[in-house]
Amino acid sequence: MTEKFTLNVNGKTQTVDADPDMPLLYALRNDLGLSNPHFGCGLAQCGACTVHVDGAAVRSCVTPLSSVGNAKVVTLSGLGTPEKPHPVQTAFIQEEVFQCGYCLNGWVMTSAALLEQKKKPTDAEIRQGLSGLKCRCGTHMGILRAVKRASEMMG
Amino acid sequence: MKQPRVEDDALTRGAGRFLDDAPQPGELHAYFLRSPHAHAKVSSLDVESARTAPGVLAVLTAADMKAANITSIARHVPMPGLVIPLRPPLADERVLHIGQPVAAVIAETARQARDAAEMINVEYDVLPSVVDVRQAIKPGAPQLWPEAPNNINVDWPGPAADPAANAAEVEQIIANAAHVARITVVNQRLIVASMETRGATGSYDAASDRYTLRVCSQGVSPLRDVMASVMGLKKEQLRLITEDVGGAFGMKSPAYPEYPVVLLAAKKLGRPVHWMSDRSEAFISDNQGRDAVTEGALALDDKGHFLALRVRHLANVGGFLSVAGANLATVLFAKCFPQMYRIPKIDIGVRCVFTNTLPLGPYRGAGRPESNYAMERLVEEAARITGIDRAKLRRRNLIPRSAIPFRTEVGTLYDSGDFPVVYDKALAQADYAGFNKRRRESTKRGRWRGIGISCFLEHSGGSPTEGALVAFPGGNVVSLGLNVQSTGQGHASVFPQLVAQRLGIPSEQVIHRHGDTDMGIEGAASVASRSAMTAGSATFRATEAMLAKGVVVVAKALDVAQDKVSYRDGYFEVASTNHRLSLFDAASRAKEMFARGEIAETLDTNITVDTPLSFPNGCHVAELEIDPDTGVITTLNYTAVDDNGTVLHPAILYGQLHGGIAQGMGQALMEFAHYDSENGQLVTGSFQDYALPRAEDMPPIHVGVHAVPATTNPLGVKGVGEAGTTASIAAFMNAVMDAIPGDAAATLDMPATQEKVWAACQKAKAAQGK
Repeated sequence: MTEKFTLNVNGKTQTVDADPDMPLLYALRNDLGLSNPHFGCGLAQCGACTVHVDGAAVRSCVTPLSSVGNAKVVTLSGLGTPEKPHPVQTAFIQEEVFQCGYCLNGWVMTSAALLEQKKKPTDAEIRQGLSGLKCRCGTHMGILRAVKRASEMMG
Repeated sequence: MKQPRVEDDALTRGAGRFLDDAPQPGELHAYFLRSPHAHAKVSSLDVESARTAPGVLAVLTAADMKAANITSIARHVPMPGLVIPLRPPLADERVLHIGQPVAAVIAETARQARDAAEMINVEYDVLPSVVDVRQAIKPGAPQLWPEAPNNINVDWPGPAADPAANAAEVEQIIANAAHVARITVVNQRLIVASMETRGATGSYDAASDRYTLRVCSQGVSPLRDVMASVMGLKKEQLRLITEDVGGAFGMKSPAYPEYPVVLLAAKKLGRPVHWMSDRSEAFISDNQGRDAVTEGALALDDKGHFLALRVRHLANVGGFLSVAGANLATVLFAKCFPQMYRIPKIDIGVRCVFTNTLPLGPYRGAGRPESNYAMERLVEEAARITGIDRAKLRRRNLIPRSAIPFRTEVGTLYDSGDFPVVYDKALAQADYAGFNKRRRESTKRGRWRGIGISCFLEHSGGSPTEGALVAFPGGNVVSLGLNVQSTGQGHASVFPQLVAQRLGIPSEQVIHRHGDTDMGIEGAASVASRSAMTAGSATFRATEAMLAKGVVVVAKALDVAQDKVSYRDGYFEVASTNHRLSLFDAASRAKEMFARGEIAETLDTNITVDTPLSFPNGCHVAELEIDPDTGVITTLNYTAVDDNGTVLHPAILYGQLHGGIAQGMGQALMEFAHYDSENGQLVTGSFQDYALPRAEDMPPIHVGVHAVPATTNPLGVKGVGEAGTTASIAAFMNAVMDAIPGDAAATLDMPATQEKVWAACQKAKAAQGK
């Protein structure tokens, strides 16, 4: 049975007609046409689908639509703007981190949430904070540099 | 100086366009019902109730494929004695590995297709299965193919002109040698696990009788050729399109069973048909990597000089032969020897074997890591049995610069390289001399410290032929069309830059195009670390050829002699005058002259060039610590000094090396695609069970470049994509074995997991106690 859900995504209110158990990822990708959170595993084991729900980094592939309620959902494309990117986005570009870029959604969104919680994380805290994410291109060391840089940029 | 990647702005804002980000209007969804058995007869298949399920438009089986004359997707480069069994896209009478597609449901939504698949009734007669390569060749093992007795796919005698005589000669040297190091090492099977899974969207235009396949590939042209052959089409009847690709590592280059099925379904239903693998499906439908057992014997004289090498390699190609399955395990494997070392006689033999596992395919390195790992384990073993310091032993046997160009025993010609310098730099950079002090310091803390050296050399290039298209689409831009496909290597940041530099125009005026067979560019895929050298050379030649045509056009247009016209920084100039014509004006004039029939072609230039192999090489050093009470490994430091020839883009070079090292570390320390030996099930079927390297596992990596330009291509570049993986596997393993005292780890196999390392540590402690 489908139900009507009103979602606040990237500052816009949108409605979706869907099964309450449907993962948020599918609503974002298939119903709202947002291609930036990616499907990686469907089991919260890689992080490619990460979005912010009220500021927290959440795996949208295992988040039922019915659990979102009025929370503010932010995806990678809503994190910054082309004119004013989020410092994490800028830092990842400056450090020339990415290769294929498929998983970067998870790294950028998780790093941004991490730095929101802790302005100056130690190297160990960054590694720990990102430990649940997967990148097969092996860009990990560049990512760690970029998070450090973003942390400095954010003062 | 930093050159930011052109790709990153869009990717970082979430504006990439991967296959699943680009739904086609009106598309249907395919779901593949797959075999739950490793080996079984399909005794009955009933799809009738699925056909009438909600949203379902069609259910395809082997019968539909046969009726359309699509009988096998198996294609392989010819080799004497090679058995290539038919590989029907949808299983016919038998399934040979778990995950083999049996039927395809096409429905309005992906969920409807999946739900309907549950209504398909398949009855299987389960047959005995075998998954281990050593078990598969034993008498009494289940036989997979009648045309392949003892499950032998090919028995390859090696590259020697007279293999039998060569083998006898090597045997003689081994029998008389002062020392012989012997090893047997296992390259475990690996899951490629690109973060974007595989997918394809087929469509068909009845008016033109033409198909389009949008697909995650590593180069559209070669896959188009294979798919056209599979479908029984002329090349012109099939267009392949690839946009952004989320990692591939060799795995996305071949044809797969799903592709002809979505094409045929699209034709039957008159609408595009889309399939995207989910993760658990990827584990049992993507080609897998490595999976070989190597026996090596290295003969040395009493001074530690290498005299002869014998290698016997047993490779598991899976239930069916994929595009490069046997090639990578034989030719590509053998061509890596003798790496950086002078070895006067070499005898290599490879047997490829069928088992009830997923097909073997290229995975980052594709034969090269297997070869290098065997060589570097042999050298360590040689150091152990001779008592010669391993660093000195390696140094003593390096091919000196004065011997280059160097013809090897396996038929390759090393055109360039400075191995001793690369080697010395790496040891200096890793502070090899200070290691014993660091080891003592670790020992005081109760940790066992180890250092592992790995010299490597590999051949890059694979297939020599590659094309490039330099064209003028109108306006003040040049387009550079390529067949090679970026799957994370930053092609848009590298290749247009080459054109811009040569033409003396801003790089923003050069547009990168790829991933469309309608551009008509020939070539092979982005495999074998070949894109920079082959497509780079093609880009270079195409640009030069375009300028040569430009000189003729400008001479005609300005009515001067051709030898008075030269090109500089965006303009064709006439000597001793102030007459000139801009590049873009010249291109427009050429179009006009071509339309009037005054010249044979416009300035648009599409050429293919052949680029010989290059030989990237280097020395990597890994340093790590083991907690002997728990077996936990802490990686501490990683040094890589590489010769990848001329560097086109430093950040991309470092990224490729880092990524390769991460994947090598994954194989050495954690990854293992484990099949149950009883029933052939893949036990490690998710990221929960299959470990990929994570940020917290990675050591600091220090890359030093010692570039010796290749002499075999105009840019001087060598490959880099696979170098890190080829080198790092042995570096990490040698470090683990070095850390554990005595002989307790002498026969340790990959992956060096905590459990195995702990067990070796206990053995070592017991030996110390005696």
